[in-house]
Amino acid sequence: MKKETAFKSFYSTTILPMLIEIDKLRRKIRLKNFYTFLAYIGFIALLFLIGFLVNRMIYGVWIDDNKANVPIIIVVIILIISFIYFLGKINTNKKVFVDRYKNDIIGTIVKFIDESLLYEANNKIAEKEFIASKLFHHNPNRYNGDDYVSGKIDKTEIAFSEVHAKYKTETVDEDGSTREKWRSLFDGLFFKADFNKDFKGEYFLFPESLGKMFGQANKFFLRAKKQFGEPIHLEDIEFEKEFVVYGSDQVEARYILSSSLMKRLLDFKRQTGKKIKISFVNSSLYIAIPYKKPLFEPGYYSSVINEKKIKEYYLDLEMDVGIVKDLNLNTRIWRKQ
Amino acid sequence: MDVLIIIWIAVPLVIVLLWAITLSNRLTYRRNQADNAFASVDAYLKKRFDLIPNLVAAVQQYMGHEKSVLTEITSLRTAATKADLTSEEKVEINNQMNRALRSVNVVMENYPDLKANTNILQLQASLNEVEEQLSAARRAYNAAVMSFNNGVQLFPSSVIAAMRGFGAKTYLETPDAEREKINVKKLFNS
Repeated sequence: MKKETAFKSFYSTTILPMLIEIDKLRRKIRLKNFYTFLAYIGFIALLFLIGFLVNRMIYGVWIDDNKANVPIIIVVIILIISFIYFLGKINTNKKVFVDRYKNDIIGTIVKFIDESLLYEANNKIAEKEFIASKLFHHNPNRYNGDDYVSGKIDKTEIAFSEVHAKYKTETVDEDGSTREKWRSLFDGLFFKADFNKDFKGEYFLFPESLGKMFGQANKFFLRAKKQFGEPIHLEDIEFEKEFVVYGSDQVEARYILSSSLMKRLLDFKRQTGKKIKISFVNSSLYIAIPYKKPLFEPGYYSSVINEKKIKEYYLDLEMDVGIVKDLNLNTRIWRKQ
Repeated sequence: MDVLIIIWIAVPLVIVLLWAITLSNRLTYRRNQADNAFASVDAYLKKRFDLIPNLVAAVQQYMGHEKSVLTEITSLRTAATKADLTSEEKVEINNQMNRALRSVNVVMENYPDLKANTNILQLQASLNEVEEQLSAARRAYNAAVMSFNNGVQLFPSSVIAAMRGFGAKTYLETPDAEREKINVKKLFNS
């Protein structure tokens, strides 16, 4: 973890000048959008004026309750189409600012944390990895994400990004019609790392509260057994209080979850303060950290020159990259190198 | 009248019998789990022993007068492969092997060429892996033993256990020599 002083000097020498420039851009774009908004209002006013005038010409009144007022209808249609176009324009303009901010600021912070890491604002971790983790009870029907970081920290390959995944359920009503319902599958940070030991089975760690769903008498318990394997009870009492573990083999589970790793996973969970899910599949480690709000979006309505916010981004990213060090994944003293 | 009395006696008896059978089966399940876990421990011990000749051969080229530690390891291995060892004997040989391996590691520090040898490094990695797997198997065994002992000692399954002649199993202790962890990184850091 880079020291406080190193960050402060990094902020003032590298980040601050960029922030000043980008804030200028932000204000410029806000102004541009404001003018676009005014122009649009003007356009709408004009449109309605023309519409009513034409209507009066045709029907003799401003608006006729008994007949279909064709000009008015046309005006409304144009209104709807132009509104969509207007919103699109506003967003495209805004995106110029957001992209610039992310690429310059977040990208630079990532490189500051580790030179070998690559940041791609509009990329996301592959959907097949998300599915490969086997942490979710459904495959996603809609899969989105951004802020993709990837690279190799010393000997360990890592990749993570924000992920927003949804799935849909179809129910058939009594009258035979099918109803679709969209539900959120996962919102937050999804992380994959190369694990430092080879193993054959699959192992899952869920937050203890979820485990209560898998209580003995519950039907979820049977489904859990089928999907995730045997319940595994480990010796670390603190660990058992916060995680519930399932996996293929009792011995291999303990080979992966050494007492050292258990302590580290527990510390990491406490550091995030979230109900994280972890899996060990195919010699990789997957971590899903749920977040309610998006993580790396810049403020649009207020100045971006905000050291506190930058520090927040830095600490969040540090924590994620720090998983490698925290879990000691670079220790390669076994056969997997 | 008689039928009613018979029912009042027979039904509770049947219930108790079924319950006893459930308890007994659970005890058997736990005992089998413990035995299975011990078999894993045995398997990894053997795996470790099998790695020894390669290690000895590789190291022998470098070591001169310190061969005594290597002969001790080889003779321990021969002793371990005898078929009719009791559990205690196995554990004792294993403990001695731990100590001998420890001395080999200490000796290896004096030979920088040895430490850089890729063959040795690979062997060390394999040994480390087996040590971890052994540790995992031992932990799994102890967990199974605890579960079994709970069945044997807690009422009411203790009654069934006594009837079947089940006694509490002993835990596998971490041998004293193993309690200090080898820091392999430190070992190979010059």
